[in-house]
Amino acid sequence: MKLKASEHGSVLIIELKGKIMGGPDANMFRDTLKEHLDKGVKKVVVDLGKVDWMNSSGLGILIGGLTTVKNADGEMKLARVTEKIKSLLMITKLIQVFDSHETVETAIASFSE
Amino acid sequence: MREELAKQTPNINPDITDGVAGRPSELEFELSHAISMMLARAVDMNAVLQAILDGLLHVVPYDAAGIFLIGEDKKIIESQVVRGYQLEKLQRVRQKVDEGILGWVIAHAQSINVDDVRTVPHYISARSQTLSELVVPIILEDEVIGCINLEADRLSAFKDVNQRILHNLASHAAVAVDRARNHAQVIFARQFERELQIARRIQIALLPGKAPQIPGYDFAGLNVPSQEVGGDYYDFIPITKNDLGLVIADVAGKGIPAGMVMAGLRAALRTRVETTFLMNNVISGVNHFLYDSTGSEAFVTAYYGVLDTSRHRISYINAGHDYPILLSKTGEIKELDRGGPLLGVIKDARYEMGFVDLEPGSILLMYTDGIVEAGAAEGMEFGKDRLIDMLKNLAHESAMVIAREIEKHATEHAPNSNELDDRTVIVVKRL
Repeated sequence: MKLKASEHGSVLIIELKGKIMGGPDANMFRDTLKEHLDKGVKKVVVDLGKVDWMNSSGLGILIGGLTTVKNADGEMKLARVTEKIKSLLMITKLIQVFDSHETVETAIASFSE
Repeated sequence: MREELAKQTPNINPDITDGVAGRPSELEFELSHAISMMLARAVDMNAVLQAILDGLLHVVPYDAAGIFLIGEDKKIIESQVVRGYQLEKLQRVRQKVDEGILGWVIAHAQSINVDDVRTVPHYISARSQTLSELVVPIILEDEVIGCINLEADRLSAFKDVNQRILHNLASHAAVAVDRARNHAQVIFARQFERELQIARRIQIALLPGKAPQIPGYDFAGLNVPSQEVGGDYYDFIPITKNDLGLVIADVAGKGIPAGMVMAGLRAALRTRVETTFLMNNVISGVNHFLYDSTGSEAFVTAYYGVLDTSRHRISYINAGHDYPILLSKTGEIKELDRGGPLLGVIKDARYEMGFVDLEPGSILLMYTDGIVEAGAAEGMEFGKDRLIDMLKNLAHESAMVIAREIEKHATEHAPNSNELDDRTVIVVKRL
């Protein structure tokens, strides 16, 4: 997994790339989130457009991320969810738990001011 | 004195040099021989090091002595065995690795014979009476691992010949330390291996020993962990004369951590199945249990169904698990998708029940994602379509043959067996 974090105004955008399979990937994701949450970031968009594949352990990364952000009184949204991830979210019935958007822009626009 | 030496270093035979008034070279030979014999018998490191110091007293008389080893952090040298220091029984002499005479010897991998310690700048004194000191490095495979240090209360106590003797004994000490360290590693590895085997046996005992025998039905269950211990769980739980609980679950992750959650999950589930018929309470209870005990770190996908073997009906809740596949005699496919989110993540998650009839000739296949995702890490997932095709082709076989063939094909499909996840298959055939 590769991770790229950038800030767009008050929104943190985390772009994930490659295969997401849990383990060390989880720490990298959590550390990035924590670093920005500690600086006061409350809005997070996770861009999944370039994720090739994700298994259920990888799903744990998103679940853990959502919990971390919520605990910091923030909001986390998903953007560009691929078919594979969508079907994983369907099977695990977490599709309602995550707020998913077609593009990063619509995800950013959806944060209530 | 000879008898005393013999007592302390058990392999010295006092008769060998009987009558000879302790010539150093002979005593040295005896001591070296005694230590070699001890090393040949794999006694513990401290016993060897102590024998070195005790034997040495008679070859190179000293007032205080210590064998020091560099700590794992490479920053501290710590006395392993000492003689003649004013120390509480368990107290050790410690100093930084780059300080004092010991530090010099370790840094330069050379011995030093100090005639008068008062002339040494930055001398670190452990005994106020000490006037001269001899220190040699203990070298193992070109690396200094510690030193032997002798102190005397008079000036110029140690001779060149003493230095040579000490070098010889330092090489024995190196062997003793090396042995002890390798031995500790081997013991640890063996112990770990043993415990893993026990964990594996416990886990096998937590899975069904054999499939239920119910007229009109054919059951089979199969679990292959990717490591010794796995995170998949399946179960056949007799509830009443006609009701049989069917469980398949997958703990996220693999190996021992997943295995521990699996054991907790089984206990939590079985306890609830025994105390309530309400499937919603069973699943909600297990969800709460996992949420409370592991936070959102550990989660489980699970399918829990109850088969009424008199009405041939399955009531089930699918908590985020790969949909079990029901294949009818006429080749129709139905997926068992009703339920709610996976377990252990959403505290007050709600679960709905699904119902399905098992017509004669139909087959219910339950599996974990290790089957369909075999090969996925390499971009060639075994996949659900292939699984369904296989099930259709194998429909005339027994439940056990179906389960075995599916597991076998999924495993063979993956180009790299190291990437495989735990794999579990349950097959229920209505005859």
